[in-house]
Amino acid sequence: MTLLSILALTLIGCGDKDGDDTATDGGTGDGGGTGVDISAYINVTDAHQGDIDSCCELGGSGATSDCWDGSSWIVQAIDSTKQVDAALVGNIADFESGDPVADATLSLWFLNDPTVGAPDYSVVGDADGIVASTFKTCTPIAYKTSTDPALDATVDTYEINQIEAYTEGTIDTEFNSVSSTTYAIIPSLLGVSPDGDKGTIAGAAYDCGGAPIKGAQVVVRDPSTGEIPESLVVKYFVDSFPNRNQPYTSEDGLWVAINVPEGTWDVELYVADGDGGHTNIGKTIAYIFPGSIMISNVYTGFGDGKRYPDICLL
Amino acid sequence: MISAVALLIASSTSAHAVPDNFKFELEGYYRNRGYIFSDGLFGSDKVGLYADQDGDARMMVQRLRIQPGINFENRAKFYFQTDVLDNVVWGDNQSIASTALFAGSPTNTGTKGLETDTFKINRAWMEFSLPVGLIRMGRQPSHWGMGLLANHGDGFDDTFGENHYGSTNDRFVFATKPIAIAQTIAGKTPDDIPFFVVIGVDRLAEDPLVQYYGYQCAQSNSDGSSIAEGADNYDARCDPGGDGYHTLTHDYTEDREEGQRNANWWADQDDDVWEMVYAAIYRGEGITLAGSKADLTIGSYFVNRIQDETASNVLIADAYFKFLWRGIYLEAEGLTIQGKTNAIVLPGALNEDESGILDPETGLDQALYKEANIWGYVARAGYKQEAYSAIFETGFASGDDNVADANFTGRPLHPDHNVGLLLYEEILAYVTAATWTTGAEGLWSNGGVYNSRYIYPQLTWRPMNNWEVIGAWLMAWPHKPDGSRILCAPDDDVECSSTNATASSLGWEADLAVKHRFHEHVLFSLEGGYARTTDRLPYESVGLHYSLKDGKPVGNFFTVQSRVAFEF
Repeated sequence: MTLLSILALTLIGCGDKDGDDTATDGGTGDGGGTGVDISAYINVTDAHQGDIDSCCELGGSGATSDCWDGSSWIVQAIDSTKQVDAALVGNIADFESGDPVADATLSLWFLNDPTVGAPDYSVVGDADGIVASTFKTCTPIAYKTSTDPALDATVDTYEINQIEAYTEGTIDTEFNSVSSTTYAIIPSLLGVSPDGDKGTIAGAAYDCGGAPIKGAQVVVRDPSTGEIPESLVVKYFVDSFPNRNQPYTSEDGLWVAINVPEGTWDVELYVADGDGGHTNIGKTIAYIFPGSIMISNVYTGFGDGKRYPDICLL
Repeated sequence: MISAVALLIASSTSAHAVPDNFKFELEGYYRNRGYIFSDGLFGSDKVGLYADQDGDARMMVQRLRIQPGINFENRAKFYFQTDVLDNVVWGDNQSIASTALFAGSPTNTGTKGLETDTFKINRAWMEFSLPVGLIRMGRQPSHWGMGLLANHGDGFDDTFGENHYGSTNDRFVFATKPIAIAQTIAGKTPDDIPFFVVIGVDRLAEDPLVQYYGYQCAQSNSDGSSIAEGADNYDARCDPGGDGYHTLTHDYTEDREEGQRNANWWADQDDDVWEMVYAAIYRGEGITLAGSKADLTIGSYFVNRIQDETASNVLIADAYFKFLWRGIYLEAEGLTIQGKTNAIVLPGALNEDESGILDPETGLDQALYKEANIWGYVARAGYKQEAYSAIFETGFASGDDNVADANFTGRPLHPDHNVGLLLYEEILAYVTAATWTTGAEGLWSNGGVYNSRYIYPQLTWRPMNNWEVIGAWLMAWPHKPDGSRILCAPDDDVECSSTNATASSLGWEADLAVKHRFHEHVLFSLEGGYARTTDRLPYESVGLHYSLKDGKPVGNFFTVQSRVAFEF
């Protein structure tokens, strides 16, 4: 398995094409209402490929065609009866090779926020990367995978918004772990020198149908001021590997943001609007710890990166 | 290659029919080398290579090299070379003793921390003379000129540092003196003109373990649907059965295990890597020039490397010149590597237009195609006397600011061409290894001159017989910063994501050595070096010590190394 493994997290769902209800930021390179110039990062002119018009169906019953506009986002109605504890047998696997990561620790934050302090639950996997735990279905949870830092085999790998579909059986899922080798060689190929006191965000951009979007761009911003970290470098993948010459997401929808300072950040996803401006089609949050990688996917129409499986909705 | 020529000189004397008269020869050495990478010698600055290292880092390594030979009247010879305890670190480093404090028996742990073979035969070859020349055949050392490209790594031929690698080839080579042959054919008495022509063939790989395909295949689209004939992404190569659907799944290359080879693994010719080697050299020693004795060597060396399945056809050209007359010393070697290949498959390093065949005649693929354009040189000029010598050296190894594009322009000089003790030998070796990691080990510098040009003046003083004091100063400038190993500055002629560096140079290094040979066979060398590096290096991302000067990171590195060797 390769980096495409995160595509396996793609959630199902599809709706009617809804035409012209996407929100625009009002022109090329503005700050999406903050006044901060984002044109260094958001400058795509090629048309995107992917469905960004039928997302409102994802809001469940009663959703309208004007359910999101770039400042307000789709809100899904969750069936709380589907939020139950279930047994989980997970596999901690290398993000790039898919090989099991032996003796890795899985830490869970049930409130989906790894910045609050100690994890709510931790378990050490076996030699085959297998972990057993309990997990709440239809509930976004944050996790971290890590190994003995003295061995320098992996970097701390965080992922938020991990939502498992409702099941009455056992959840079988995979947790990503990024090796130190992969963490170092990706900036090498991109011609970037990663600062040890900063971190990396990686993720995929998905359309309304859950497929990767081609032609989208990502920017990382301070949630309160909209400022872009000076050290930020954003690159895109081709064939599931980062490519320094790729100006926007390719068919795989994957992107990476390097040298993001420690803290909490918004990740915004834009496409060209066809009129010289850009449309903010999705947003999520990312927490950065020094020397770590955060996996945070962006879904069209959603402002928090939480897209629930259909089975979780009312 | 020059060593083959040297044997030709020796064996060109006529052979007489005499009873078997074998002569046993033995060469080699046993050497120990100690390293100290020190901390705290320069005030409050952090000094040392490793950020997690407090205080000095010290180790001792050793190597026993033995090269026995059987010589039959200089007409036929057989040699082999073996390394025992090759760069094995002193001590029990595998916890043979359950408590390290009570360790007794040392282990064979190499400098990379892995257990090594106690005894390893590196080379074995035979040589025999013919009426028209000399043939050498087998796994043999390869050396040319100053050793920038091919360096046998034998002996103690560098002013500073140690040889750790050494070029070895499975080679058949024929060397001859064409002028003497022409004169003989013409019925003249051959002049002993030391002009040699060498032609050889190397087999570099019979079957690479990595399976090369050169194109990708997927059986289905991302939505799970089959890839059928007529679709944009349908590729007939992925449908070997011809039923109109992709039935194969593989990447451009796939790793495999030894056991996955079939019984006839060696029979496939397409994956063989081989090269033709051609050299011509004039090697005049003790020739008379303006009334004084002079040494003059001038030659060129060409290699044509081929691999069919990757459409690789690469030409390597190397020219060498050496001149010594009345103390005036000149020596230079320049090399270039030119050619096209699909063989360099780095993760993510695919060309932008990745569809189809670039050149049907050669099979070059759009996605993988790379064009090599690599350059390097070293030149020395100086004045040598018995009591002293002064030499100015400059060198260059072209770099690559983007290994992911179609232009492959970077290659370090051979790591056994040692320049200094720290900047190339340790610091850039560490930086390239830390950034490329084991995922792209072929791009490590291993201590060779890397992506830069340098100057390296050296002064040698010989106060008495068998004593030398050598001082040298090294300064280096980047060639093509790539933003990861060598950081970019605003004026660099490369595209970089960030241009935070301000210095034009990589830094400088001062080296000092005292060398002594005693009891004729025992070599002693005490070497020290101090390097100060600039904000061109990615200290923080690779974990190198640094301090701030005027808000910019600088590195201070210090080493003391010592060699004691018994040479025989």
